[in-house]
Amino acid sequence: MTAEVSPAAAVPRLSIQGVSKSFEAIHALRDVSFDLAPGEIHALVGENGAGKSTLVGIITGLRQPNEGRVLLNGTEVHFHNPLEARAHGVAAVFQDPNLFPHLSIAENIVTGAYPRKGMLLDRAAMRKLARTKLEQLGFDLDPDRLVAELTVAEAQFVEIARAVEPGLQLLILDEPTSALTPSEAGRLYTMVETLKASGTTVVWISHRMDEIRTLADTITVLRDGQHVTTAPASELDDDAMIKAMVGRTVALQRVPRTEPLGPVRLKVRDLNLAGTFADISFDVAEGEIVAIAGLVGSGRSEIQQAIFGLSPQVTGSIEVDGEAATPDSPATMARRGVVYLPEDRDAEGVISSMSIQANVALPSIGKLATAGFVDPRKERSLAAEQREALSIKGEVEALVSSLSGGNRQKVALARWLATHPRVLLLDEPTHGIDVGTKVQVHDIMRRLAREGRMAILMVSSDLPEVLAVSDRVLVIRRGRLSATIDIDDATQENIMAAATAGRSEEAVR
Amino acid sequence: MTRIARKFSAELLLVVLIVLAGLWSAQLSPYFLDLNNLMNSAAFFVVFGLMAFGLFPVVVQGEIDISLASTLAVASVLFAKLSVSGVPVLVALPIVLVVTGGLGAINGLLVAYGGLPSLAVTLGTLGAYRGIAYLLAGDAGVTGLTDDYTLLGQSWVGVVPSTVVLFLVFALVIGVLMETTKFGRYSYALGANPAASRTAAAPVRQTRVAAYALAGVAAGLAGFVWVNQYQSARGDNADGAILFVLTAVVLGGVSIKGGSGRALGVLLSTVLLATIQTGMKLANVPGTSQTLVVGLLLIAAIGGPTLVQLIRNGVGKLRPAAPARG
Repeated sequence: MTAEVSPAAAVPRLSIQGVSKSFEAIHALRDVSFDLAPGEIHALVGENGAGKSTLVGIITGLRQPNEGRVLLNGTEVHFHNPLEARAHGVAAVFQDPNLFPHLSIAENIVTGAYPRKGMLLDRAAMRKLARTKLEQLGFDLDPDRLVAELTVAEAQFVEIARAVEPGLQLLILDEPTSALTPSEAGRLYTMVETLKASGTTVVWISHRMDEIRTLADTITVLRDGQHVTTAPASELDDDAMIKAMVGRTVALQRVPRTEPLGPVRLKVRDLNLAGTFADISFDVAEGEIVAIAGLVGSGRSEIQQAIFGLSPQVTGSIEVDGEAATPDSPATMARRGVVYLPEDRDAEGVISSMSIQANVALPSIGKLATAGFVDPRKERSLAAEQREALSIKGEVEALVSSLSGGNRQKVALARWLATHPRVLLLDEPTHGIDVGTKVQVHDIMRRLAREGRMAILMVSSDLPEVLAVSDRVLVIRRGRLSATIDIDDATQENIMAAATAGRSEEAVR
Repeated sequence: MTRIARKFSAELLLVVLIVLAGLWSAQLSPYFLDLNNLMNSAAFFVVFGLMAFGLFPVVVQGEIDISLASTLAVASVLFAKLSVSGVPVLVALPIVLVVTGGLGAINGLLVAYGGLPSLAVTLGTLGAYRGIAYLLAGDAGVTGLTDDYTLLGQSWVGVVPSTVVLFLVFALVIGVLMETTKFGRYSYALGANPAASRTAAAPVRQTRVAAYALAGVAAGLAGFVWVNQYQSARGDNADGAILFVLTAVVLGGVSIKGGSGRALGVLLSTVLLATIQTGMKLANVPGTSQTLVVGLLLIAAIGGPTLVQLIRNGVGKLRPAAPARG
């Protein structure tokens, strides 16, 4: 597969030749070979579990291949750890920022290479170095700010600034925009183009088709640990790319609703949480999927969390099926049939060190128990039932940590479905999930609303997803409801306009 | 078979260690394996074992309680006081257990509702409860307990001391509680991931308070056994015992980070520690050195899993193509 590199790039920046890696009996990578040209943006795509992370691990010295070799500028390299890779100009920035929250931006950027004045840390030089780096990349950040105060996007910028050093050969960005707003992502695109112009090769790992289109010169697709294709972006259209990823064609499409909406299941009036959101009122009907769109940090998730009882100090009124509910704890709301799937499913949605069965049964333990004693047979059959219904891969005894992101999300969903909820609050239900599983999750959502008669309130930053699954879109801007758009009138443009409009005016006032 | 062996690997290791420690002790003294000696030694460790089983659910939940030995002292002094005041033991028992359960619940409330770190909270109550015990007992302590308060310490079920039977029953109750009840399920879940347990609408705070209250009751029972065995009580009773207690829990395979561990492991590690200490006594090892050994065991037990992981990773590196399983 090395023949597809353009003849101009005689010596590839990085050449991956016959790399294989297995963990126990699982082949994470099988005989993967492809080249990366100097100064290109190379998109690496594939479903979760396709082997992208393993490959990045091998390139950066985090893991050693069982077979095959890696050549940097024509010379075979064996990095034993990421530091060694970094010394050779190969760096990676991962999805979740890995910074020291209680140190300043400058301190984080110079970690490991502190400028010194004699025995002492040269703070002025450190600050200057950090500022220069940030400016070069087009990031306007004060180096003295603490990392703990930064938004996810800003933290990501700091991490990139830390990785970018003189002589950088290869920068790997693993889903860098998954937590960014469109304008923040735009700044990142500009930075990547700058790096490319200076001759650095950038590997861009992403699930987002639009940005791959915008940025990538070359696209490499992995599937099930094997190399499917490496082709110039112009020669691989979206359908072909998705087909290469999943082995079939998949598209996010609306499925028109034939079932009528029922009465209002969730009624929210004048919800207020000081400093976070204000005057939020809306209804969600039986059988309806309502999306909350808006920028990251606009208060979308906080609204859901407040409805689920995670912010007891919230004011306003909530009714479930016409009866008032006080959101003072998750247990209260779950009893009323209101359940919540958090965005960070590994940290909050599932207990990954426990089995599928233990996870699924957890919210239902009360119902599975007689006088406090849990009936293990009921527990098992409950889990088996949900596993079947959501087609979760893996036995009920399997640890959740052994599952893919998509299956973990299904487990997070299954533990609630077993309680027969009335209102589902889903926070970024397909964040970081591959296209194939994403479509499955959307189908499950439609089924739950339309056949299961649940009311679904979904927070999503993925606008194609919002358009594909919801019946109505609530747009939140700076903690206030700025627009309600019926799905027939909704476009990515008018949603974004409502999410961002008047930002500058407000700032002036 | 291998699956069972894997599930109970920690317990199997403990059994092997108990046998080794037993052989070592037997070789030091011919009296070790004498039935009377074994039973008397076992009775001596009942106090520690009861506290270990009280601490076990707390540690499974990812928390800690180092105040238990102080709670024991409050209990033993209260029992002694009630005895010399002429209160019948069957009346005193529920009173004291409610008090110590309440002391435990105070720890739990501060941790669960106050959101305070359990190590700091229980270090504070370690001092405070010990202080209460001293205040109640006075300098001389309390002696001259009535017979009903010491009966259990001098009775046997067959050849087994009654206190040992009490301990085994309590261990069984805790084991059943952790394996088969809602409380047990919630305990393991919130030890493994408190945030995910909260979003699962698990009663996180109530479960924590319950575990601490239960630990307090266990310390109360231990205090009861104490007065039965020593027929007196003082403010400094069981001072420093928490080292042994925590070591027994962690050595039994209960992760100090929470979320795992079984009652059987705690039982076996209590037996193991008891055997080692008895052996050291037979070998005339001074008490200070015994403490040193138990302390090192605690560190080994905490560091053990990490060490095993490091070794596994090392082995993985040496073995480039891991053979396929099954």
